[in-house]
Amino acid sequence: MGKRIKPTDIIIDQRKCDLCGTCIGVCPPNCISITNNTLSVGLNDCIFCSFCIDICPLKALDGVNN
Amino acid sequence: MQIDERIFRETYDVIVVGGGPAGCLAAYYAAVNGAKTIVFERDPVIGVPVRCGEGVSERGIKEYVSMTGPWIVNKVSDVEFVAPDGEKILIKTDMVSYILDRTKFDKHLSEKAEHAGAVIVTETDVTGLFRKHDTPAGVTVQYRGKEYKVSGKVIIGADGVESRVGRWAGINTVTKLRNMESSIQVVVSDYTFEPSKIILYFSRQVAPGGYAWVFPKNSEKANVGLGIAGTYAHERSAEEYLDQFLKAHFPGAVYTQKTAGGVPCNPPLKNMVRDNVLLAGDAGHTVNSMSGAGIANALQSGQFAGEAAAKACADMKNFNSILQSYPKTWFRGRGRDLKKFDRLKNYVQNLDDDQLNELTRLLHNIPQSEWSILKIFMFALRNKPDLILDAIKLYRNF
Repeated sequence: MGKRIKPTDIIIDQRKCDLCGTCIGVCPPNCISITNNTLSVGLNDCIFCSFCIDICPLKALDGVNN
Repeated sequence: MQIDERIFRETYDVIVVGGGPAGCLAAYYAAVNGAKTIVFERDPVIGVPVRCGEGVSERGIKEYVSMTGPWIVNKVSDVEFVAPDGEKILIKTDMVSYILDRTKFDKHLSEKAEHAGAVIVTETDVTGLFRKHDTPAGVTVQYRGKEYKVSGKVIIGADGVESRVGRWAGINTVTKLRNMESSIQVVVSDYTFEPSKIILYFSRQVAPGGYAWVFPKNSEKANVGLGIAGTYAHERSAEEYLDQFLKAHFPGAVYTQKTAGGVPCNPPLKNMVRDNVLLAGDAGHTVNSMSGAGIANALQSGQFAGEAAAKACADMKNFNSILQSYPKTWFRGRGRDLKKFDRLKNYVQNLDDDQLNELTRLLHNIPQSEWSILKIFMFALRNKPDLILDAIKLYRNF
């Protein structure tokens, strides 16, 4: 595993997301939610740990570094 | 479903968040014991989609549903373990297990809750708790673009893998990455399966930190899926592992209903209650962390949570102590063995493919008629006397 760069933004591919909530379960600051059948990450509280990106069974989340 | 908005303005004894098995059972036992009860479910239809292997032991469900209902689709008693090198061990047990139709099963449980007087509202997002005098006084919900504050005396978090209700209440229910099984499953049809056995594949190549499963619904249809531990999920996703597994073991298979999911395989939660908030099912970390089995534990924890909630509402003088009795009841019930299972999981999960192959070879040196789950554990744990004791105690409790 190469050294990972901490992302500054989390991108969600809504077409891939199955709304299973697995990412929410591992999110330490509890800042991911599903409302109106859409997953969203509350970036104000996000600590950019990347757990949500890793755990997604469908790799629907990705981190970007701007 | 069109509902009257007035139901959001009523005050309830018990608010249940989540309409899965834990939530429906909590609602049923709360309502049947006289509590005014409402359940909020996000999805439009209870029981859809199915994020579950659908296997459960007879012991785990017989108290709650009939064994002849349409929710039972297959009966299994044998388990086949497949080692990394392909060696197989078939264990015939006297324990009866079933493959469920979770859509019908969950619908039945929700109807039972409704018949007992609980209100079930679907398509509703629960977005938080609100407090009065520092104590949770209800939940905030969104229904068709509108927000409501729904008041309740007791809140039961049965919100599954997300377990946000607990965290809003101040309970640390976050699942560590290594304890979350990143999982995916398809329904394979028009293939040949032996309906009497489930098959479990163990290998770092197939499903690191987890296993792949085949749960047959009949002789030509099965749930095929796998889970990998979160710590292995960075490089390749569960979906990629499943694609590889299907190609290797079910070439050319037709599959439908690909569903993702997470199985929170945690050590038992010490505080399942905080103030007037109770946690049940996956949200309360009731999953058997070694097997990943969750249905039976969700049902019983839901029952105990619902009963405690109703009793507390009927006896406000002893409200808090009655709510606090819920985890005690749970840890005397199916919760009793969770810690032992978790110790075993931590050991078994760390066996590498060579060790698993060796274990299988050792078992082949004894007559097949003597193979048993306990014996497998004795071999696996031969260098771990303390864990052998765990395994024997668990076996006695089966």
